[in-house]
Amino acid sequence: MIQKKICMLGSFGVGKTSLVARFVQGIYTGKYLSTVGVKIDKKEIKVGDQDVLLLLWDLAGEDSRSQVQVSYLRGAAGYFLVVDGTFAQSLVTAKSIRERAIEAVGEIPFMLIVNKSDLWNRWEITMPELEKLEAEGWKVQVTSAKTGEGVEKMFMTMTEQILKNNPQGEDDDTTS
Amino acid sequence: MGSTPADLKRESEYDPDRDELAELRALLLGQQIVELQALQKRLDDPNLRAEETSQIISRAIALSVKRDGGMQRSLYPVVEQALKISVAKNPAILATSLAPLIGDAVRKAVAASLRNLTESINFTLERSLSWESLMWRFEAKRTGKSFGEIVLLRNLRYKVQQVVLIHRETGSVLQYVKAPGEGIKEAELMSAMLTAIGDFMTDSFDAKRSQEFEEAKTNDFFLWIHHGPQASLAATILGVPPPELKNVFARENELIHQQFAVALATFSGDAGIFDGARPHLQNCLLGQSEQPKVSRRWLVPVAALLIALLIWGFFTYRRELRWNHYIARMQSEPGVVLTGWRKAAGHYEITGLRDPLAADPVALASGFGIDPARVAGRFKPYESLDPPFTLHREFDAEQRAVEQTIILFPVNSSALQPDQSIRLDSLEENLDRLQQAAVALRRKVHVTIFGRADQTGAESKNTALSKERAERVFDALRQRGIPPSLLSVVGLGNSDPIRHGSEAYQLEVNRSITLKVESQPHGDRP
Repeated sequence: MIQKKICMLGSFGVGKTSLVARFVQGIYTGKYLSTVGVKIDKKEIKVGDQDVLLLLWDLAGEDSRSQVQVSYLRGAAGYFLVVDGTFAQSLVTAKSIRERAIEAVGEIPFMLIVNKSDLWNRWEITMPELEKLEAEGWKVQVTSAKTGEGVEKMFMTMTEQILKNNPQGEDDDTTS
Repeated sequence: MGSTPADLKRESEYDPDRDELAELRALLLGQQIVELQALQKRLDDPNLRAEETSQIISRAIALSVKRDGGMQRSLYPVVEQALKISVAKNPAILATSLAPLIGDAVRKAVAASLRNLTESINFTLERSLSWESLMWRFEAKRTGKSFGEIVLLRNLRYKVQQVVLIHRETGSVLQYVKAPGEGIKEAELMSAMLTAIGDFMTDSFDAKRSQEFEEAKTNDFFLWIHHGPQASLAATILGVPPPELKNVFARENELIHQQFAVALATFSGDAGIFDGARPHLQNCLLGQSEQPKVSRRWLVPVAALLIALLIWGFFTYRRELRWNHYIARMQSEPGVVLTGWRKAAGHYEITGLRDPLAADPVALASGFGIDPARVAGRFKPYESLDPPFTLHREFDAEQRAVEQTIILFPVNSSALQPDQSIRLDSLEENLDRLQQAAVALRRKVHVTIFGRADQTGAESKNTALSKERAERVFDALRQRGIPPSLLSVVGLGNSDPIRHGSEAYQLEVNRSITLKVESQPHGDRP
């Protein structure tokens, strides 16, 4: 069983915690988010033959007064940038978080998660915008924490990406 | 730089034989030849090559590092040699660069050991004069172990419940051990959360350097974390751990770092490699807890209750057992027919039929450990047909017959009269049957013949006469086959008349013998 740390980043209120809650069962309550600024849950998944234990670091959301603490990204194998489809500003925030994340940990696998697909008719973020990001190499996944759409898939895709980025066995010759 | 086709033409003028060929070549490949020559120059000129390589070497190294890490291994001896040379040549350079780091590291180490020392002194002072510590010192001398080791082994005030080896960078659990019977729900989450709290402190206090979260305390628990360069050992400890314990954690963590240096540096999520670190973690599971003593307080009332229940159960069971034995015995008791029994509120009632000759069931209760006062017997009389009872009744009937027998004598005579012989006959029969019944009932029986005389005549003569009359009957019975040992004679004279008065019929009755039967259970059955 290998362990991978994955962070959830994004504006306040875009649904990071709900996405994680859809996916896992944890022991920590939401109060950790407001005190320590992070809540950690875990989930075991299987990708191919590989059992992976995902440690999901749900970081407190960014708003006008506080920035996401990218120091929590240290040691992460990948991260999600979560935005709210009905709130265009959240994508702007995500892009700025992305820049700070690169500064902190360099290029590691990440995905843009556009949440609230159940409110599709009220979206402010447009398809062309997302297509443009995809053209720049961003992986984009549309989800709904409310209906569960795309939730399982976003974690599977991320894990596959991480394993591809750093396949197991590569370091075998160094562990003598 | 760069040669022109004209230059080439000039050079080829030295070889007139090849003029044409050279000319043709220059015409056909002019530009390419210039480029080839430039390339050759680039390859031949070390200065040029160095300049070019310098532009790409850093990118090449980065690529190689990213691909397989082989570059580090290849460069390692070079760097080592270079460092050696550098230190030999000018130690100041390295010293200057390392100074801020070393200063920091030394300060930290000194601060940590001073803190340990202070705690250690406090702890030692606290217990140095106790009897316990004297015993520990004696044990240390005896076993050749250090005092500190003995303290760790014998100190009963703490217990390391679980130890987690945490990868510092990712917060992943590399290895986890727990004392038997202890355990946390989610070692992985705890480990990640501890890392997050460390990060949180660094961020919150706006510290320049990363802050190390080393200790936390709750009412019952200590959380101690020893940070190594790559991995931390976190332990939860119940009670008050001695400062020496920190040294154990530090030592084991250092050993882990030595053993797993490469694996720690290249960790990418697979904790299986660190199974070998398990013994080091287990070495940290020290101490014994006094906690059980505390937690056993509830045992006292429970044990008291259990004991009370056991006692109550025992007595109830014993009472039940006794009652059942008693009822079973009463059901087989000769002369008693039980038709019902019940008990309520500690009292018993038995009903049925009872032969008057049978033992009293209520009185028998005491023989079974039951207080007869608590037993009410309601019995109707009946005649049992059990052999002992018929025998008893027979015996009683014969006894009565014998004792009602009276044999009369004429005035002043001890001679048996013919009219009395029929009485003697039936007396003999009665005595025979009495004897048989006595044998069957295993009773000893004895019959006394009392001779009497009437109130006339001298008393001395009457006594002799009365005895003579008794002896006559004794002789007559002996002659009829009654064993003499059964009988004895007494002359009462006129001292105990059957009837008082001087009328003729009263006097007549007193010139007689009567018999008295005495019986008692046989000697071997008191």
